[in-house]
Amino acid sequence: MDLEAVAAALAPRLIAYALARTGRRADAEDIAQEALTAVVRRWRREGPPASPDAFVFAIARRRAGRANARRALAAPLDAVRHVAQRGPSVEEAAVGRSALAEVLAAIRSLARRDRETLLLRIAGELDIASIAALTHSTPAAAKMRLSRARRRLAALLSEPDHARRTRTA
Amino acid sequence: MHEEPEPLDVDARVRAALAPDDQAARRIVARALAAREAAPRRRRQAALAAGIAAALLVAAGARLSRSRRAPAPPPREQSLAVSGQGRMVVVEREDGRRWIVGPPAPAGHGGYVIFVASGRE
Repeated sequence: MDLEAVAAALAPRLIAYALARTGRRADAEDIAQEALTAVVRRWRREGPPASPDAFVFAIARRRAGRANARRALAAPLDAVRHVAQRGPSVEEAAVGRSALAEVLAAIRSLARRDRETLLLRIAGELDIASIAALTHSTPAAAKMRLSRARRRLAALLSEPDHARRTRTA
Repeated sequence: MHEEPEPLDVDARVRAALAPDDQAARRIVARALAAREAAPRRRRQAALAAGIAAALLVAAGARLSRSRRAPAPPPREQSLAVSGQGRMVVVEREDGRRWIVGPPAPAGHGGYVIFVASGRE
């Protein structure tokens, strides 16, 4: 395995996964950076991990959870600042207009474990065994969650006014 | 009646929405690979900081233990030997110091007690 090739393959998947988890590109890039730096250091120090994918996504999952928790804690302050600024930031406005907002809103309405399984599969491109290991589940349960999440997401995204409803909610 | 998208269409739609721009991905890869040089230096700095912190802790602990050390023990109690010689009472300490207490003076002669310390001061 070539470290640079592995890092290049992992970076876009990590960013996509972290973006879906946090909803912010800046946070997503920070999380991807930390996870990728961790695997590079580990690789150089002790050789490649048994599964680089599992290694980086385990880190990214934890970091994304912390980023969301930090944001939840800071939400009241952000709300005050938001009111003071009388409007969304440039990034938020851009995201709000995009297809990303619709997809993120649909993903957020999934059950937490279904959502995690779906994101690790679609954005992280992990196999079912790795997803089961990361989510402390069994492959059969992971498959079931993935199937359910896909069906639900398909239904949500096919609703013509889903994005509008979620944006105004 | 609209058709629901197939699951794989959903995958493609989600991937398209979440896809990062190539520049960001390349930047992240480059930074991660460049972390090689920074890592040992940071480890050295962390080790140095840990060493300094440990030394400070040891010094503070030593100082604290010195300040908390029990004060010098009180002087050992010395036994007294009391003997009487007639109407005189002689009190003698272990170190040889001696007090002689005489009888009270008769009335009209002052009413005092002679207290004589003998032996070394």
